[in-house]
This record gives sequence, structure tokens and C-alpha cells, in this order.
Amino acid sequence: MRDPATFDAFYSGSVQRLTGQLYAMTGSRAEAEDCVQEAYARAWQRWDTVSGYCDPEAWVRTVAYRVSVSAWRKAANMRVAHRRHGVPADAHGLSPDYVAIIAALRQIPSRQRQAIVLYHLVGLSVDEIARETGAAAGTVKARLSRGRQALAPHLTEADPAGHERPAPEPPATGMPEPGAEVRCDA
Amino acid sequence: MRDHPTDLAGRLRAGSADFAATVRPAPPEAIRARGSRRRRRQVLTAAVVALAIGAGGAGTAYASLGQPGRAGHGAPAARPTAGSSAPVSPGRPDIVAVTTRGELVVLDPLSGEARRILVAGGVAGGAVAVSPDGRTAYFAARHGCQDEIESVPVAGGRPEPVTAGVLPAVSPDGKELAFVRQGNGTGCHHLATSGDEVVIRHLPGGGETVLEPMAKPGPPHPVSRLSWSPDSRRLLVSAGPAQDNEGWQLVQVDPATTRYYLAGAAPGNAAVPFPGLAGRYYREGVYLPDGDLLVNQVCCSGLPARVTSTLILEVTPSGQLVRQVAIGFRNRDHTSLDADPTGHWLLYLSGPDLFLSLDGAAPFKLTTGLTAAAWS
Repeated sequence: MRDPATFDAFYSGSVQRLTGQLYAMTGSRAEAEDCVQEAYARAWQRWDTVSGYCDPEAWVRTVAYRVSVSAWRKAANMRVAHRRHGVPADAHGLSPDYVAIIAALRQIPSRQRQAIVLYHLVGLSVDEIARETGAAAGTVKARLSRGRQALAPHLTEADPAGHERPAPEPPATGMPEPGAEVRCDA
Repeated sequence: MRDHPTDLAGRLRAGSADFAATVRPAPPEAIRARGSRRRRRQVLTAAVVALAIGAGGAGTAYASLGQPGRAGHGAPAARPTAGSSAPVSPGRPDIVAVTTRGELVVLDPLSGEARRILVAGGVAGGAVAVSPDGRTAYFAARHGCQDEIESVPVAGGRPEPVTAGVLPAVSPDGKELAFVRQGNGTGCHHLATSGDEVVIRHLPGGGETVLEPMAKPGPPHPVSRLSWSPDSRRLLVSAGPAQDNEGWQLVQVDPATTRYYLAGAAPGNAAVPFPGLAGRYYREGVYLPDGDLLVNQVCCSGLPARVTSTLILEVTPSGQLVRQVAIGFRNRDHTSLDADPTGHWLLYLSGPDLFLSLDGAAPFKLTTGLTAAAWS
């Protein structure tokens, strides 16, 4: 039996964070919001199963990403959105630095972008990314490495804050080590 | 506006937090209503499809499941099996698999549903192996920074530690367990794989034989798969390149006579060749029960290498094509190649999707959400 109260609590507690993550993956606010809503709707469809997962948020994020790369959905929604709103103004209210990062992320292949976002923003380990994306761990490492290399020139050139930004970097402090034990107790 | 950190993770997180604060989500009731509408639509569609199939007679159950496709090579011939008369339509054995959630499960070979959960979590992907009698599954589990091979009864029971390592492969006679041990033993790895060793553990006695990549120290050559020949005398090693622009190699090794696993490192080590083909390589391969090989052949161009085609093939040990089983997806890894003990049923993973093929015919997708699988 699906419990609306637990779903509502899960939704309210995670929707903004997940929309932020999807925005980094897609580079479009409208698309991120739409895909995340669709993913939550699907989660509610099978909430009795999804709520039993050790990480329902990862399930919603994966579904939202898959929805975002569906070419049919993308084409149909783009037409509707243009009719309704005209060209979207995604960057309104965001820092120039973040806008520059999102613009740089849009320049690299989507799989590399997904790996970069999952590793650096979401904080997943390489093994966790491999599980979430269905790729081999070696493939994830390669995507991370190549993604960082591809990002470096874009970020260096378009740096509004004037910081020095060395291209490849070690994992951020406080994040799970790639290779840290991941066990689901559910 | 907050201060901007200089590292990519910090900048992404700061920007994303600013962005998230501007998101005005729809009320949860609206999302639930959208989900419920979707559910009703799907139930209705399923009912219509069921009616249509019932009215139309024999529909092909797997025709719409997005199979990777197959180039025509005529009707597939039944694979001869030594010493036995092969059934025309052999039953499928169970499948032991690792899920993307890190569980070790037994799958129903007809529905793809998990029939039994053998280990509830913490299982590493890569490979799972089943003993020849089908009673014991070997898998790798991660404990902190240490990967350990463990065994568990396929019928269910308590996992038992075997040894430190990954990628287990049990010989057909059940006497040897081959696996990979990473050179720096118990250390935590970051973004580099270094110094893989192939280890053969004698299951009755527990003694070990260690195969290095080559005699002289060189760059690391990671191993992605091990497979035993039907007579349990040779080991097929899928060994990785040291550089991004080099192909993987598939090496047949005789562990009784060599201490190295790369082609050319010892006189008896032979890489599976490509007759008449240049610029291709085998990404992974396993022995079939009749001694031929089931391989994933990848073809690249550019620098660094870019995948332009990926095929699942049956080839002889000398590289001659027997038949093409499937054309894979270029943006996916094709792993966990395996044949059941009769050699009729083949399986492989395309990304997280499990595909099956009978006698090399067009494969169909059974289920998804897996990181490793093997016939029981």
C-alpha cells in the first residue's frame, strides 16, 4: 500500500536538491524541473517498491536523467515550451561563476557531464556512479578523467571571479573516497 | 551571494545550492496525481495490447524489447556437445547475478525476476562465477578498501570468505579458482589501477600460483575477465592496455608452464588473432564448452580511441569467425559473456541490460539493473 505521507516527506525534502543536480546535468532549468517532476510521478506510481530502496533519491535521479536524454520527449517538450514561454532565461539570479560552470559543462559529452556531476556535486564514489549509471568502474574513471580535461579550457577562459583554476584536481575533501565501502542495510 | 570556492566540487555545490533555493516545486499532491494518471494510462494500454495480441495470434514475445540486432548469417546451427545428444530446445538454467544495488541474486531464467537473494548488499560488480556442479557461487565483496572473494551456496546460506581478490573464475573440473589480485594488496585505490596479478588457487589444498603481466617491470595491465578452457588446462585472460590508444588483448595462457599472462611474455602465451583485420581488438572473451570463444570485438578510430563498432561473436581460438551473435551498442560496455554448460544458451550484459541468445540467434533482453551475471 502506497503511503502518501512518506512520499510527500521524501519529495519535499529532496526535490530542490535533485532539481539542482539535474540542472547541472542538463543545463536547462525547464528541462530539469520537468524531468524531476516526471521522475517523482513515476516514483509515486511504484512507491511501495521505491520506498523500500536504500536510496530512493538515487532512483529518482537516475529516472530523471533517463527522461532527460529521451529524444522524443525532448523534442516534444521543446516545441511546447517555446510556444508557451519563448526562449528560456535559465541564468536569472545565479552567480556568474555558476553560469560559467554550467556553460562549460554543456560543452562536454553528456556521459562525461553526468559522471562529473555525480562525482563532484552529488559526492558519489566511482563504484556508486558505476552502479547508478550501469557503466563499468573503469569507464566511469575514464569519463571523469576526460571530462575534467575537457572542462579545463572552458573554465579557465571564462572565469568571471578571476580565481586560479588548475584543471584536473583530486576529489574534494569530505567526499566519499572512490572505493569506500557502500552497503545497503535495507 | 556566497564566496566562491576555487575547486570544481566546491563551486558546483555552492552554485547548485544557490540554484536549488530558487526552485519552486509543485505541491506533492500534484505530483501524486500525475503519477496516478500515468499508472491508469499504463494499465489501460497494457489491456489494449493484451487484447490485440490475443486477437492476432502468435506474437513474438521479445520483438519490441530493443534488442541490439544481429547481422544475418543464415539459420544458426545447433552447437554440438561432446558426448551428449543436445536437446532441440534446451531448458535454461538459473542465472546468478549482481544487481546495481550490490545484491547477489538468483534470477528466474524465464521472467528475469529475482528468485532468491543470496547476499543483501556490498557485492562488487565485475564477475560472478558458479562451480561446475551449480551449487556454489563465487563473488567479490568490498570490505573497506579490500576486495575479497567469497563463496555462498546457490540454494542459500551464509557467505564464506575465500581469499583477497576480484573476478573469480572456477575451472570446469572444479579444482581451481582463478582470480585477480591487485598488486598493492590491501591499499585503497583512487583513479588508477595498478599491478594486477592473476592468481590460481587450488581449491582442495589452498596453494596458489601467481601470474605476473611479464618478466620485466612495466606499466600496469588491468585484467577484466578470466575464463577456463573446457579441459581446465588453459586460462583465457582479457588484459587491458597500458595506454589509452592501445587495444585490449585476449591471451590464452597455460598456467602449468608460464608465470606471465601477457601475450609475448612467454613462449606459450598466444593472443587470439584477427585474420585479415587491422585496428580491432577483443575487449573480453570466454571459452565455450566446445573450445571456441565467445568474444566482444571492438573496433576503434581516432586518438584517444573512439569506439566505432562493438560485436558479440563466436570465434575459434585462431580467430576464425564462427558466427555473429549480436551487434552491440557503441556507447555501452559488453561484459559478463557466458555460456551455459550445454553451450546452447549464451548471455551477456549490455550496460545494465541482460541479453540471452539461444544457439547464437538474435538475442533478447531478459531484465536490467545488473553489473555481472553467469549461468548457474
